[in-house]
Amino acid sequence: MDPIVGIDLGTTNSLVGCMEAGFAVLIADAQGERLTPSVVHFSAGEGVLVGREAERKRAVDPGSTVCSVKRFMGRRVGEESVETPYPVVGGMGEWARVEAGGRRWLPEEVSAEVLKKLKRDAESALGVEVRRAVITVPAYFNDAQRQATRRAGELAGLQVERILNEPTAAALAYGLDKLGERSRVAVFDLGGGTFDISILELNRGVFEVLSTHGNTRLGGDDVDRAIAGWIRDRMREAGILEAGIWVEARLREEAVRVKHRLSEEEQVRVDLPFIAGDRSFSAELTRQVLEGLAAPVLEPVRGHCLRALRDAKLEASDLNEVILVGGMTRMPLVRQMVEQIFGREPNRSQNPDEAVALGAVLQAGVLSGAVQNVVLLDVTPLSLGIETFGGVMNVIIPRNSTIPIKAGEMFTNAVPGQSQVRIHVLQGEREMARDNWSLGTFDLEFEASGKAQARIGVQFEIDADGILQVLARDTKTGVERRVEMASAVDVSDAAVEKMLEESLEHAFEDVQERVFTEASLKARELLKAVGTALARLGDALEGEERAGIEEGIRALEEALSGGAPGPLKKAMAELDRRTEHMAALLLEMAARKG
Amino acid sequence: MKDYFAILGVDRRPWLDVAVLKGVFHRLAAESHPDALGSGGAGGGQADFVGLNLAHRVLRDPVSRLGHLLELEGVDPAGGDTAVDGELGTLFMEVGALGREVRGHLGRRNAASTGLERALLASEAASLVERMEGLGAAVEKCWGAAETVLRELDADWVQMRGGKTLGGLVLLRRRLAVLARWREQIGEFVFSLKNG
Repeated sequence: MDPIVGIDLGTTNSLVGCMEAGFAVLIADAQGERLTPSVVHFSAGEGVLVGREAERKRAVDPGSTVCSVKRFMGRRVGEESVETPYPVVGGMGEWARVEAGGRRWLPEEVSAEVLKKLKRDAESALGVEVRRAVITVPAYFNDAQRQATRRAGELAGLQVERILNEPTAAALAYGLDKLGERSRVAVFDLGGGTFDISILELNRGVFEVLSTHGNTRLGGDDVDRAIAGWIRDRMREAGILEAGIWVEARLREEAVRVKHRLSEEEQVRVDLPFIAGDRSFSAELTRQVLEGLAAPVLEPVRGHCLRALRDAKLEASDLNEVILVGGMTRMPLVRQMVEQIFGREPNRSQNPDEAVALGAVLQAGVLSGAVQNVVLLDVTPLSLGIETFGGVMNVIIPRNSTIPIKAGEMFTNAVPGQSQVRIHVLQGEREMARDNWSLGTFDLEFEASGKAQARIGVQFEIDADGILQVLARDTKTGVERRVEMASAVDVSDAAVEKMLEESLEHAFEDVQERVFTEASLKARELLKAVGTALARLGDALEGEERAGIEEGIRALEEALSGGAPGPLKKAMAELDRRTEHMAALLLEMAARKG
Repeated sequence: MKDYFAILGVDRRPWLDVAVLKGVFHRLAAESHPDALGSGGAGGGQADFVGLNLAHRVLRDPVSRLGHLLELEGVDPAGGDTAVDGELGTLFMEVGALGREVRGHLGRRNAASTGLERALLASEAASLVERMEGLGAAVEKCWGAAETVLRELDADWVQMRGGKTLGGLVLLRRRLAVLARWREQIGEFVFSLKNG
């Protein structure tokens, strides 16, 4: 028997499992743990450590300990601005690499170390060699991120039988014992680094995804960062100015701890003994303060959920359940947000850490035949298109199309004798090609002939993994061949070029002056808005509040004549704060009218 | 040319119940999906499923369904008189004008950098939503009327498959295509106005 394992390769934790006697079972490692932290430690002396062992090195040697590497999968330098204790290196526009243990690693090479450990654990438990796997990815992953994940599997010696979307996997885990029913569900998946919302229709064993939306840069890590920032500010107030990656690593570790505790308790003590030499730091953090920090970070999930509903052509009330998965859904604030967005209490029947992995195992079971009468119909999360005249993106396969899918385009020569045409393939929802993700380019060769006489048909095919294949067929010879796209690393990429330009601008310009000019434009806009608002509200504003605002206006006008960006920004922030209540009044008035 | 009606095994006609169609699609997908092969399904792999998938996409939407039907009958769906009738012409002007207003408003909102500036735009947004929804209701009414015509032409079709029906279907398809685009645009505008 050649088993297929199911793997959840998470930002924070990873899991592996397999089918056993008709049931999906997760596999524990030698220490009896099912969750493997997605952390890899590279050191000269001890070689590579993975999982809990690596995590223990995080506070001691943060520069050589790679965590949350999933954020960099299939990403180019300049796209991801998250700060990490380990160095992320590479030229602008090249694939991002991390530097640790004396060499540079692609994110998929780091992930492969995690996968190798899971493979070994599975082999110990099953007593046979494991060569095949289903690996999950965030539904909103693009082509490059999916390909990087597949390469990670291959580097770990696994044949990747399917790249499966995480929320779809969770839906499978939820719906397997309800195969006779028909229902519509939303899966709300908020993990350590990514957020997905998928809406599915379950119909007697068919799991059809109707729409999906998400954000591959939004998760618990961002909340941890906000908490760490809060702790740092409190430390500064206490006169502790110690900085450096060790301090950062300990702050982050403590942030994670208090975040977890505050899901159960109303208040916890932040404790950082000997954080600066012999000085220790300690402070109280309440759930209310935590929620104040987390709410703005998590606010974007609302828009993603509403977008998914609109794309599925459904109202929230059409759903039978909203299923929570991902560790972050333990946070009470997240549950409240979900309840508010969907107008119903979310379903918490699934283990937030394990549902995705169980779904991956079940899909492995579908592929091996161990699970019968189940089929997943997934969608592509992003529109696929090509660049046309004027730099506009022409959509060939719209987002939320059921996969696998194929779409043909016919290309012809624009001028007589033209021998080739370059096709630029894109993924994304923006109108202009340059604002979308570039998958790469390929050239079609024409036989010399008159204008519009040479014809080449191109098939764009998105397979069940959500990965693009391009096939070109010469209509004359009927020969079809797979087109290899030029490396997505393209120095002429508009976004990269813009970044480079900006960095050059900075070098030759008086930065202070430019910052001031930009800020003063915004300040004038704000002054104009405050004037309009004061006139519109008239007597509805208390004298004291009005006086406070007028004082803020005077301060801002003074800062405008000063010429220094620092005080100007401060005065703007102050006036912004003083007009908060006025803004709320205006919103109330608008709501009453509407 | 592929006959998508035949692929899904449904009658070739202008009107189809999309819920029934989806049921058929699910049933056939369970047999032909590449994953089902492992469990002993009778399907022919990815190629079969892709064909089924395309057939469902085309037939569930009345505009593409009519286009496909006309092509199968040897009629050019884009042929004939291309003028839009009076009622749609008036709506066309309204959708265009209000759309420009909304785009302008959304542009200003994107440029606003403070809470106060956005709050000042809120009452304008509320009135734009109201007007857009009013226009949406007018478009929905036309859509409903066009669907009624579709059911009538469908009944004619089932009875006689006459040339008269084909000409009517060409006109109706054009009308539905215009209305479908407006429904989408109006829905998108209202969505953007409500959810920055």
